[in-house]
Amino acid sequence: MIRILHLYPELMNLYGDYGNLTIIANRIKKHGIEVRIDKREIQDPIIFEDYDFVYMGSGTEKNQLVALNDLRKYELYLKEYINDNNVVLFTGNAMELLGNSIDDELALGIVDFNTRITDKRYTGDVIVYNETLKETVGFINKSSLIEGGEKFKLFDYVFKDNNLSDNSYEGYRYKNLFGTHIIGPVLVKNPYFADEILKLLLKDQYVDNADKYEMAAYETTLRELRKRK
Amino acid sequence: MKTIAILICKIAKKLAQKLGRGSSFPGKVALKLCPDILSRVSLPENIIAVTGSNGKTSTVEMIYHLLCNAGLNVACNLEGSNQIEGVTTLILDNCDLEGRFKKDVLLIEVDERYAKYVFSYITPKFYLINNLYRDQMTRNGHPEYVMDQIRKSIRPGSTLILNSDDPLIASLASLNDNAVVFYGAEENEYVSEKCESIYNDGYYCPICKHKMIYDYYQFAHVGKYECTSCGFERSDPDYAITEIDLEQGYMIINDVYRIELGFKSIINAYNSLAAFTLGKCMKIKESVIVDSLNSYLIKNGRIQEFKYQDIKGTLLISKHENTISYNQNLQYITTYDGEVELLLIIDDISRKYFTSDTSWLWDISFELLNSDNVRRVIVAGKYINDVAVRFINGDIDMSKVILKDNVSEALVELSKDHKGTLFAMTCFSDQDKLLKEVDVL
Repeated sequence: MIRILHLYPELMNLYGDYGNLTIIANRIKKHGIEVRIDKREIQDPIIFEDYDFVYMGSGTEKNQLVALNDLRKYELYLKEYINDNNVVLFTGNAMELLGNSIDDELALGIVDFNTRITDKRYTGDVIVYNETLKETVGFINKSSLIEGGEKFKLFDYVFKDNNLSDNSYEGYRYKNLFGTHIIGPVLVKNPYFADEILKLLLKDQYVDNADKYEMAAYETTLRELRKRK
Repeated sequence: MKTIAILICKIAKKLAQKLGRGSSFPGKVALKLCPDILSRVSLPENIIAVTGSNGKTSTVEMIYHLLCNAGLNVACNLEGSNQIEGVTTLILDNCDLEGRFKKDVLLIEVDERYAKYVFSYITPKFYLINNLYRDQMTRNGHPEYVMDQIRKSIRPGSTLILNSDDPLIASLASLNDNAVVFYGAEENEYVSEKCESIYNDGYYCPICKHKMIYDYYQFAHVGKYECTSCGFERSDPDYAITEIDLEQGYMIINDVYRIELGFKSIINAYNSLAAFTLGKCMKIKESVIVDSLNSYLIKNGRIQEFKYQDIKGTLLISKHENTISYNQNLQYITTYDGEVELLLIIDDISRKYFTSDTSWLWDISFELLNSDNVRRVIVAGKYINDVAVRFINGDIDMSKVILKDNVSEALVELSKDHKGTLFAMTCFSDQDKLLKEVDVL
């Protein structure tokens, strides 16, 4: 049985982010392995060590701080969980919680970077690249700029819309913690990224079982975005 | 400079009309020549503004109709752009060269994100804000962001006309000192105990971010709510739908006024109620308001009958990236009395905006397609594989789903074994891909 923790699914759910867990759960089930997804909202007790995989998606700028304040109660446990090589994925502006600060608020301090909230929204399509995750496609929709943490970078940019001007790299990886600003169902859009998460969770039980539609959808988006390079 | 700017705007407007061009350009030129032109013209006392995510245009059309029926002379951007340039065109075109506004009422539909620019020079007497939904988030960020932009557009002295049942909208009353008139719907046989959409934008209080509880939901996050912590709750509406019958298609406002509904849906009932409320605020006689709303024929730009070979079909225009609009049509089709087939076209994944972002597909209640009355779903367009992944992971029975790269192949497939009533759903950005393949009726 693989146990998944979905953090704040009603608070941090702006862009269909739950799809990430639907696809991971369904692919685990196709291995003949049982899976359970538990949801925890603000003020619900959280015990990380009960889970194999922890996920949080995007929220509004206000909701992001509400999530941070709640999660802060478990800061030490979360750090220990990550240091023990457990699998964690934070997408969209949930990623910003992992840094040292969001404006004047102290963040969780797990990865060494800082976030500044901006009036301007930065939105656009991207292709990013990581040797294991291959070319990864998606959309960024944020009101913030990030500084630092380059040695933990997850991706290099291959293509980004002009509007996305900040760094030359995207996202962070520390042990089995993945953070990316890409919003929504990242693992749905990117079968190679989903494969990597599944490999870490299922270890030698893992078999490649992405269906033909997932692969074809990925290739469509990659083809469309490459036209714009 | 004022007179020159007005003159040039008027000339540019005439030219633009002749050339079939939009209404933004003349205003743009005038604003270049005289950036504060809007503060230099004398405007009427009665300025009415309407903004929000969905239904702005229908609401403004109804208001226009009822004000005209009341004998008022109304200038309105019904056909024109709803951003600052278009509004400038509207105003200057209705001024004389001295900058005196020539009509009784200025009625403006305003884009929810750009209202703050328009109202840095103009203070509406009545400012109607109808709803905030997830809409085109690739452009709009998210509803809370849009709400902050709307808040910046609220000037002291405006009376706010707010939907009491949408917590995000109603919170504007608590956050500002303006006078407020509320409209809303009371409990009726169509309400539900649980939020029926995939996400619930009313789960947390928009003010203090604690959990809210609902007595009932009208649809999505619209309903009767109360915060468990700060006391924020739905206010009793000044104008309320006290009875509604969607089978027969009417509603009753404040126990007295019966309005026939052009579209038999609660969402459209809210739009008519908003127009009614505005009419009352403008002190129009009730009989004139009721007669106007009842005689008003909704221009049905969202429904198009067509024929392919001998198969008749109905196209329901469904905005991509807008859950409420999309779900409303899915609901209609999947509760239709009789067997249906659906042609679903998703080619341009976004409207207006060039992107490959498919995340909105996960907010749409496609699970409704599991209804027994749906015989086949034929999906066509560039993004069929994304739709297939969404369907499979929504446990939709794929044995009744057919995927085709383009509309013409989809129509051929459809005609091979068609039974029941045919519906098509797509966005206005994709509708011509269907309409060029069929006979428009």
